Amino acid sequence: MRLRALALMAMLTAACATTALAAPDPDKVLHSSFNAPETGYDPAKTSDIYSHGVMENIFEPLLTYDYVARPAKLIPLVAKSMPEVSADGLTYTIHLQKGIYFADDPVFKGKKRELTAADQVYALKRIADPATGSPSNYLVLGHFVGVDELAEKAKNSKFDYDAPCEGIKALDRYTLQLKLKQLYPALPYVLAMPHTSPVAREVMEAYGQNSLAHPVGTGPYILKEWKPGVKTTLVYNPNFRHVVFDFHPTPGDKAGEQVAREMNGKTMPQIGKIEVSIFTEEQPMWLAFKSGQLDELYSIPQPLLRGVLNMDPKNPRRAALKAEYRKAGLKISRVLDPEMTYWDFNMQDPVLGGFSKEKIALRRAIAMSFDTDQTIRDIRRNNAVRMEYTIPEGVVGHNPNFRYQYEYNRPLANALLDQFGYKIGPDGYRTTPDGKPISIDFLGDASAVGRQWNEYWQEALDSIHIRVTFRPVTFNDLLKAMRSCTYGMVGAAWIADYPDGENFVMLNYSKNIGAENTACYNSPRYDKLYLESQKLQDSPERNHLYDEMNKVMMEETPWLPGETRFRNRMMQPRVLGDEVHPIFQVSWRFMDIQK
Amino acid sequence: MTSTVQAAPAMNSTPEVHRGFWALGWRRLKRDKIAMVSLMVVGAFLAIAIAGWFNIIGDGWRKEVAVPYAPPSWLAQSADETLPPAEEEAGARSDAPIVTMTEAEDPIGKELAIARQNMGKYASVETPLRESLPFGGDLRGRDVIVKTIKGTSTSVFVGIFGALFTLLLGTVLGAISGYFGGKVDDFLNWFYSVFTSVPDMLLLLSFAAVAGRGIKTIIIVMALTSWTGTYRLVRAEYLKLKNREFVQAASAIGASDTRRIFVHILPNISHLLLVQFSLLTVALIKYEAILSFLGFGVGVTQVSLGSMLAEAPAELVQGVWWQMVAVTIAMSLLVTAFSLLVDGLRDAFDPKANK
Repeated sequence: MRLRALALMAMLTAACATTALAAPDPDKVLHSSFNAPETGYDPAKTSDIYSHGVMENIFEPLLTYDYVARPAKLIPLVAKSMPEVSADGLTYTIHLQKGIYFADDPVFKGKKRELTAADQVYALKRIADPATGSPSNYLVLGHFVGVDELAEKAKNSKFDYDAPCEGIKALDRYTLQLKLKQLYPALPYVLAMPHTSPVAREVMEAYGQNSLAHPVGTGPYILKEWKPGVKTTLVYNPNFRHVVFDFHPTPGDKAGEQVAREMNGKTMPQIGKIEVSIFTEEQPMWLAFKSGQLDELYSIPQPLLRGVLNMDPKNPRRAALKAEYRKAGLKISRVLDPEMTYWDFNMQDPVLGGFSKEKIALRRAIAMSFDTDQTIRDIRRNNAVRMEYTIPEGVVGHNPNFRYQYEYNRPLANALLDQFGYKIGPDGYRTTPDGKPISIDFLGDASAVGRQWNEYWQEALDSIHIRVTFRPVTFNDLLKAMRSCTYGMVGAAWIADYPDGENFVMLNYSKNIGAENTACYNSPRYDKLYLESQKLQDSPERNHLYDEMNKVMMEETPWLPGETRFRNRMMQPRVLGDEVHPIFQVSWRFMDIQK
Repeated sequence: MTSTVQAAPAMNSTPEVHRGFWALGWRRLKRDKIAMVSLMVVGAFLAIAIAGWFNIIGDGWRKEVAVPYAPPSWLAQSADETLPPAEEEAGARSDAPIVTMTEAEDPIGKELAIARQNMGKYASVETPLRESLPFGGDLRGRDVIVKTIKGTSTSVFVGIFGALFTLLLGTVLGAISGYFGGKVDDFLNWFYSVFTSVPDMLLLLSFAAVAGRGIKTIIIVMALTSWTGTYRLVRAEYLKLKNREFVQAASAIGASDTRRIFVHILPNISHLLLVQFSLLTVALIKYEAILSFLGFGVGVTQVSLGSMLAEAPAELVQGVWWQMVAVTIAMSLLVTAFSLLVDGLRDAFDPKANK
């Protein structure tokens, strides 16, 4: 009897749900966590991943990524379709969907406010406006016709948003046109970043300096409450349009198929309220998750990895939850981040740098003396794989069959140095072939983990009789030294801004010395290939160029490749449709939760 | 000089009584089975400790012999703790040929080939890391047993020498205070009050924070903070004994103050000092563990039971319990045996305290 009654109830509620037109259940509350505080919720003013994680749910950029496609694939969001690009690649025309409304806000005085092309124009110009102080202004400055001039003028007066601008303009209410000064192949990806989301001008002007606390977007959620650094509460946006999930994962992608099974046919969003708490300490965060107070764990804290996962010590790709957690029904989504770490040799260093054979041999010997597998095991706790291509997995252009790695072989490294006349002096250390002492200025950060790396490097360099001095500095000084090429060796890391190989191969372009090219690598061979690849979209031809670029780097050895780490998100059994996306920080808007 | 004193007619019977006292004590101790077992355990620990000081055992504790957190060999891996056998990895990795830099493309390819023939002179025998160890390994793959032995050795060293210095300080100050009395006594009593007014642990921590890390500093710090108990005891004994006939007799034959303090009175409280020494050793082993646990103890290149315990919290959340268990066993065995021995010693040599 009871069962029957229950079944009837379920039918009733189901009926209600359809009549109430897609409004999510306000009692469905998701408790989530971040492990560092956010800055605030103004798309132009923030660049940390935690703020972006929240803003992904409040704002909607022109384009976005398919939630289940791997590698991540661009799809239109606010735009009706993908941008139309002119033959010369310099003009982008984008048509916006009609009938997208901003969330209600007192500024709109009770009227519904539709999103128009002018809002996108305003948002892009706002990034360039010096008064905004956007950390992401490089996305706009230097690319669009006429914008730099406006920004230049605004240094002394106010930015003139109404002045005609050829580079960024609205052709009509729903059409946007972007004109470029030179090729900008990454532009579609830039238009998918939360930074460039359209915003309403009257809102930004009304809240002024307080814009961080007043995000008004067109996305599925609105900000209900914000206690900076402690708690953020989101509730669903009743103005959000009718969107039904229809995911088509790549066949064979088990995680994607699971998401499609759990979510297809439901409307977006399903969860009525999201509460995000900040835990800066790992232990309390883990305990809160374990006891069920949190529905989702942003990532398993590194010290706990071995306690939570069974890992194959020989193959970091193989890992599964320990039985006690598996039996409790906890779920995990474990994917490689679109990132890589590498060791830079300063190519302008008088001892280490240069393209002559003996310099290459010195760098090669150092590379061969370092056991990357050991540090993956000991320092990364098996939560990373070797980086074997300058474009990581999950990023367009990655070649899984390339092996960018130097054999770990200390006797060979020693013999190679002998071969080139780096003799061992009476003090037990090698000198240059012309008899000068060698001492590597090894830059590192002053943290405990930094010290750990130094121990392994000390051991490696001792084994090939190369003297090294470690220089621990703060992160800011580290960046400064890397950009000014004033160091010997340093560890670096790069995470994708957008999932295209271009974002990675540009790291070694000689024009980027002083910025991202921290190895100060100035190779004519590499530059030539890079410029050719710039002209191409994703294609076998471009992939071939990428392979050639990797070979050039392997030969000239400006880097010792490091590793790519995993991201491990954990969820309670009641959470549905949650999967780590390589670019999105969170998946809340695509998820459901069983009450 | 001692023999002449003992040969003096007035002290004629003293040597016999003296010997008799220790012999009697030993006989009483031997009857106490618990104390004898404890004595053997403590003896074994001392042997390990001394061997450790001279690096006869436990010298290689820093050698990384196994994989990080190698489990104990006798611990069968349950099915829950292992992954299912690897499936063939899907697609991509195997269906296309591997691309990489060839020797011909490598600008130093030829030299590398020559170097490869000459690398024999640098070849070293690297023993492969073991997957498991008799009682497991720590983060760096060091053997927990060897580490525990070395750690015990350090802890016992600190305990014994700390106790010795404490005893020395307490006895000298107590003797001076009790024997001379008056202004000296007042001053030392005031000094004593200052030290006892601060909680022990707090005092220890503040001294340790100032002194820095290392075995020597710990010993000094502990001596400087723990002398008060001994001081009080010794002072009371001297107050009591200084007016006894044998001291007056010594005074009558012209023995100096120093001589009366150290030659005439001190031997008569030596049994108390022995008990005090054992008590202090136990206490200081515990204090050392606490200090090292809090990060004020031994330096990074040394290991003690406390510094091993300090690693335990990070290990326990990962399910690595063996290092903590090893330390717990060693520490509780040592401290329990030592405490029981102290009880036995007190019963045997200080029967009055029992009543």
